[in-house]
Amino acid sequence: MAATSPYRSSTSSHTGSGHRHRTKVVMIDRPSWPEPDAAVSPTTRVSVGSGPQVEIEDLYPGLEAGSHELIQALSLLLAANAHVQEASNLLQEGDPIGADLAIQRLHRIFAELFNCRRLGDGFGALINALFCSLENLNGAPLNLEQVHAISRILDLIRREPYIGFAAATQHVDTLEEAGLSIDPDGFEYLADWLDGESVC
Amino acid sequence: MTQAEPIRPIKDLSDFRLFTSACECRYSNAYLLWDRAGAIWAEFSDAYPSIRMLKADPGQTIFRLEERFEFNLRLDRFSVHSYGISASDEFAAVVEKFASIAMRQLQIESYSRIGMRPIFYRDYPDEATATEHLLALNLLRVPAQPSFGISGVPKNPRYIVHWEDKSKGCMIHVYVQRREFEPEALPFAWEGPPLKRLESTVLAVDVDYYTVASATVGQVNLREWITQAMHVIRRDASQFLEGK
Repeated sequence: MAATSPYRSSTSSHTGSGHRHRTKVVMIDRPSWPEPDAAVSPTTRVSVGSGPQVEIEDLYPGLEAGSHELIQALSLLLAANAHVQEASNLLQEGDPIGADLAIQRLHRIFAELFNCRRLGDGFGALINALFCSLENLNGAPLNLEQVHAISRILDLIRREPYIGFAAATQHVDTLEEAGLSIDPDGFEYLADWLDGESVC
Repeated sequence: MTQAEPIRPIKDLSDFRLFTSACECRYSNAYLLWDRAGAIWAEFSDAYPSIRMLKADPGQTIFRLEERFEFNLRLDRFSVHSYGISASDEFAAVVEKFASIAMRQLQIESYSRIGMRPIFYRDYPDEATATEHLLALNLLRVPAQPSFGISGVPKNPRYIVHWEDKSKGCMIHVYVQRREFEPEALPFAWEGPPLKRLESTVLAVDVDYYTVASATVGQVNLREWITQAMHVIRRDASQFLEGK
């Protein structure tokens, strides 16, 4: 049966299911759209690529009906950002101990965020890189540049939680450029083994 | 002889059935479509082998899946329509699968607009009853007749309300629609049963929910977005139907 959807493509000459004959469909009093094939809304005009980027909270309007992972991730990322901001402020005020305590609270949040990795491979890769960055410090404090690098990645994840894996790996490089090690402990041996170099 | 039950007044959106849904995503012209349309459909047919082609032009390809979904891929947009699908989960999953393939193959980085448009129907035996029920919603006060020196039931009443802010917009359209299906001339030597002219009258609630600001591919999961958009549409459209 032909539909009245204004999104609809112009294939009304095709028959419906189970009918081999051609039928002409006549719509009487159908709502008037400028052209049946085109715009979603006749009143909407959007210039392609124009305007600012939508905020994630505006894009997903019914979080109460959303996936548990997205709700959890957005909430945790908000908390994580607050800790990073606190650490940054304390470092600039000359309080490295206070900053380190804030980073320790951040570390715990990364573990919870990793549970939301079903959001996507890119999300998982970035959170894993952040988690490993802190692990690999072995208790040493972060410097201001490293805090800022982490802050930028957290901003990115919150802005684009469904970032693709390839795009995520490009951003991970900024952590390494800040002197952080993003691979899990022992990863180099595993990589060698997978490459076959350690196989006798 | 039994008399037809009178149709009870509208309570909320649960009195309506979801007739059709459409999701449309727009982006800047993706000229790679001219190189990769075949690759997109080949990959999509791996996931859904029963798709069949309806149209293949350089600027537009249309496929259909089991007479329930129709996919329309164009240079600057794609859309997916569903008919008779009550579960938005299934629709959302199909759209997300198609979008993930198309956006990757076309190397599109952002959507300029994402829209969701469900149309809900309530069937009526005649236009007069449908009109009466629509007016009873009191969305607009219609004074006692005659108005403008004209008597009788208003013809094809409809209400449209439209909102837009910096990031998204919505239009709700409530109207009475008489639908008529007329068979064309039958093939020569047709031996089947005669095809009858079909008529129906519906009260329609048509909601168009869309984004205005652009969204990067990394922000968008259409399965998630459709689920949430449908939740918001069902929740808020119902408020228009609680006639007082």
